[in-house]
This record gives sequence, C-alpha cells and structure tokens, in this order.
Amino acid sequence: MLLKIEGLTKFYGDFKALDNLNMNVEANQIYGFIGRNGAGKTTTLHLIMRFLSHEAGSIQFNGEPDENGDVAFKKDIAFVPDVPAFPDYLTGEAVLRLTADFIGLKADVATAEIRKVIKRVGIEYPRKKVGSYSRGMKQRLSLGCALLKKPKLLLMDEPTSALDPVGRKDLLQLIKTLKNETTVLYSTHILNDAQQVCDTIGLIEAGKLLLEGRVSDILSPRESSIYVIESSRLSALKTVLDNSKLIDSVDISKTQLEIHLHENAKQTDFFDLLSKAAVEIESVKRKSQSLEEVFVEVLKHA
Amino acid sequence: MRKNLHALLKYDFYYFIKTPRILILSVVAFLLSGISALTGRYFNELINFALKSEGMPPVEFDPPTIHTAYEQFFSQYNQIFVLIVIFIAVLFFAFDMSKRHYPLIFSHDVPRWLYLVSKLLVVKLVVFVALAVGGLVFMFYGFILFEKIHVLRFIGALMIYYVYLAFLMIVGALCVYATKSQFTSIIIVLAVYFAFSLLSMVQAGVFAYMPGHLLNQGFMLLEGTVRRGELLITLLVTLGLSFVLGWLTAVLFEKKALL
Repeated sequence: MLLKIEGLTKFYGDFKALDNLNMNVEANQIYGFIGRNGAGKTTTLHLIMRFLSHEAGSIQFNGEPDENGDVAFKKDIAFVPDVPAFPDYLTGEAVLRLTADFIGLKADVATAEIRKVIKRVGIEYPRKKVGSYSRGMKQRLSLGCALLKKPKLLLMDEPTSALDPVGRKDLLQLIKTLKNETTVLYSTHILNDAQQVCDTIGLIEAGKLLLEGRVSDILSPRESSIYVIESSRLSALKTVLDNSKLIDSVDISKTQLEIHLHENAKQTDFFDLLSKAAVEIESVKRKSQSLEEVFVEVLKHA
Repeated sequence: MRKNLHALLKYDFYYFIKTPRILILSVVAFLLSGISALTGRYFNELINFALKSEGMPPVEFDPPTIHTAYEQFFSQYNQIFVLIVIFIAVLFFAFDMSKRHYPLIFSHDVPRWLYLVSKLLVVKLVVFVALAVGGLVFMFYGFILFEKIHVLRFIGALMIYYVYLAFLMIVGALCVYATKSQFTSIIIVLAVYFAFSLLSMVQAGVFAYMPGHLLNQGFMLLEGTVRRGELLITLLVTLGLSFVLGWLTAVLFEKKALL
C-alpha cells in the first residue's frame, strides 16, 4: 500500500471537516478522490502534504510512520494545487529551474529535464513571465513542476476545474499516460473525468469515505439495481410495477421501461413479479451505471 | 538541507532582484546620505535662508562640523529609512502567505524553520547592502564637504543602528505569522518602534538598556562619549530579544496552517 490513511479527523474550529477518514491508495494506479464541493477532498490532500495538522488518525506513506515535523517523505510526493500560484516576476522556465534546485538536480541534468517537461505538459511560452500566463497555463506549469520531481505519488487537486474543454481533454490524456510511471491521487467533482481516467474511486461526503473500490467493479452491471425492459405493452407493465414495494421508480420511454429496484429487493422476487404480470416481455437487461448515477445513489443512502 | 537553503535563498533573492525593491531601498539610502551631508555642511545657510524668507534677521551660528552631518544622517535614517525598512520587511514576510505561494515551496522537503532562516538572512542582507550604500555615499560626501570623517566610528555607529533595524525586522516577522495580516503587522511594528523611541528617553533601571537606546549610543560613539559597558549591555539585550522573538516566530510558524 503506497498511501494508507486511518481514522483521520480534522476540525476547523467547531466544524468537523474530516470524520474518521480511512483510505487506501495502491501503487501505480490513478485513484479518483471524488466528492461534492466542501466534502473534505482538499483538506485531505493538504493533510497528506502536512500543510495542515490533524487532530486524530494517521497518514502512512510508503510504509513510513506518520511523524510530526518530518518532511523527508516529501521527496517522493508532488502536489498540484487547485489554483496554482507563482511569483509573477519569474518566467515559467525560472520556476521550473527553482523547482529543480529544490529537488537537488544538477544544472546540466536540470536543463535536460526541464526541456522534456516543457514539451510534455505543453508550456507554450516558457521564457515569458508567469504573470502573463492564463490559469490553464499555470496549471500546466504546476504539473510540470510536479513531474520534474518524478514522484512516487502525485496529488492533484481538481486540476481540470479551470480548463477549457480542449485543455481538459489534453490534461486527462496526460494523466492517463502517468499510470505507468507514478501513482496519482486525483481529486475532482467532475465525475465524467474521473470515470475516464481512474482505476479506483474513493467517494467522500461530509468528511467520511462512503465508497472505495475499483471503477470496473463499482460500475459493473452485476452491481446495478437498474433494469431495462423492452415490451410491446409498456404501459400495462408499468401499472403493475408501479404498485410493487420492490421497486423505487419506473421510467417509461417509447421503447422501454427503466426500473430502479429498491435497495433490499431481491432479483428473484423481481423476476417472480415480472412472470406474474402476465405481460409479454421481449427482453430484460441489467443496466451499467455511470459514475454519476453511483454517486447520486450512494449519497441518497448516506 | 544545503540544496534546500540554496533554493530558498535563490527564491528569496529573486523577490528583491527581479523587482525594483532593492533598487528603491538603495536609492533612498543614497539620497538620504547625500542630503544629510549637504544639509550638515550648509545647515547655517539653510537656517538663515529660511529666516530671511520670513523677514527675520540672520543669526550667527558656529561653523558646521562633521558632527552636524552625523546628526543629520541618523536623524534622516531614523525618520525615513526605518519606516521603509519596516514596510519592506513586513511585505516580504507576508508575500508567500498573501499570494498563496506556500505549495511551491512546501511541496518539497523544506523544514519550516529553514524557510524562516532564509527569509531573515535575505532581508537582513538586503537592508545591510542598502545601509552600506548609504554609509559609503555619506562618507564620500562628508569627506569632500568637511575634509574629515571618522571612518571607524561611523562604521561602528552604522553597525549599531543595523542591529536595531534587524531587531525591528524580527518583530515584523513575528507579527506577520501571528496576525496573518500585513496591515496589522505594520501598525504593530510601528507601535513597537515608537514605544522604544519613547523608552530611549528613560535612563532608569532596565529601561536604560532597551533597543531604542542604540540610536543614541551610536551617535555617542561618533562623538566619542559612549560608555562601553552600557553599549555592550544594550547590544546584548537587543540581540537577546531578537533571538527570543526569532525563536517564537519559528515555533509559531511550525504550527501554522499553511493554506
């Protein structure tokens, strides 16, 4: 386990921002840390980076114990903040060179690495002052600084939230390519982005992790409680199903019914109900859910 | 440690070098020093010119000496230069906090105390350079206008004044990390500065050795009337207070939420 968080609790005054949070991030995967605004995503990332201190719990990185004041672990972690900020009077290249100094790269190695990073993240004007950069370009520069470090763990706090659609697509593409070289903990509330790039998802709400697992498992049709039925007599079937306690809702379209089963309903009982309905059914399929649907579902039951 | 200090010093020097701040401080020091030497030399003429413009008869003064220029120099520095130093130091300490630059630095394995050490070293060096520029300009013009200058004593007085400025800069650092506000910090440091200036008039007990006395003692050194024991104790008290305040700043900053 690359990052293990146990019982993490953080207060801001009387407000409990994190409530006994537990999280496990395995190496070489993209972990999507999803949740609504204010759910505790940024606080968690700031605690991992020790920008803040926590009241209870522990954060273990790479098996090392969580010790106050110890900063050595940061050699292997990079952080891309949601709103990257750099001194306006420095050029993009100067910022990267400064980062190389913090990492401890020798001058000739730094020059070569900086060139590679500039090309990789697409910084168009490295010799211009950062003050003239757009927010998207600052985001790229921040990612460049992070990649220069060749970290074992890359923390990204809502990196696509300020980007235009093209910039967002480019960045997501870049994140996908990172999987072979590092582990990414990617915080976002844009669920479509998370679904596109992440291997694992952790869903946080009100400072608690409500769901954690591989995207392929979470979105698997086996886990779905939504069924799609095709029939020539949709209205008649809807009337039967509407009156059943097994079913939460039935949505009808021209060609099919979409049925949301109650969380305690058994599949066998549902099929019994269908057979007793005495309506000809052409097909019954279990529907794959999108991450957004899972998100809404989990929050509804939280 | 070494690579971090190197990177931090570079980062902090950029703040002064890539912006006009070090230039402003040095130009102010240059102008104040030139004006001090000139007003010292032509002090009588200036007074009589002012009297004449008011329709009053001229007054006979003793001819000005280099000591008149010294008086002008420290008066100007203690009224103008010190205020600029306070502003520059507070804005410098608050810069990363107000502009949210902490992730740029603390995403790396940088201990917080080292960050403070770098900040203090750089701001002290910048003020030292400006003061050195001012001192050299004053000595140059002082020698041209009066054909005499007490080089060693003047350098000694400047160093004593520098210790006082360094103390005020550390007060600035503590205020910034305690209040998290540039404006409040400037107000507090100015209040401390005025309080110590007032205390410099008190010669009783422990108050006779407060940092504000350093200015008088620097001037007394130039006149050759300084009592070495008093000067030494005042220097030790000021350095001791600076150390304690620096330590408090480090403790406070260690616990501070960075974002």
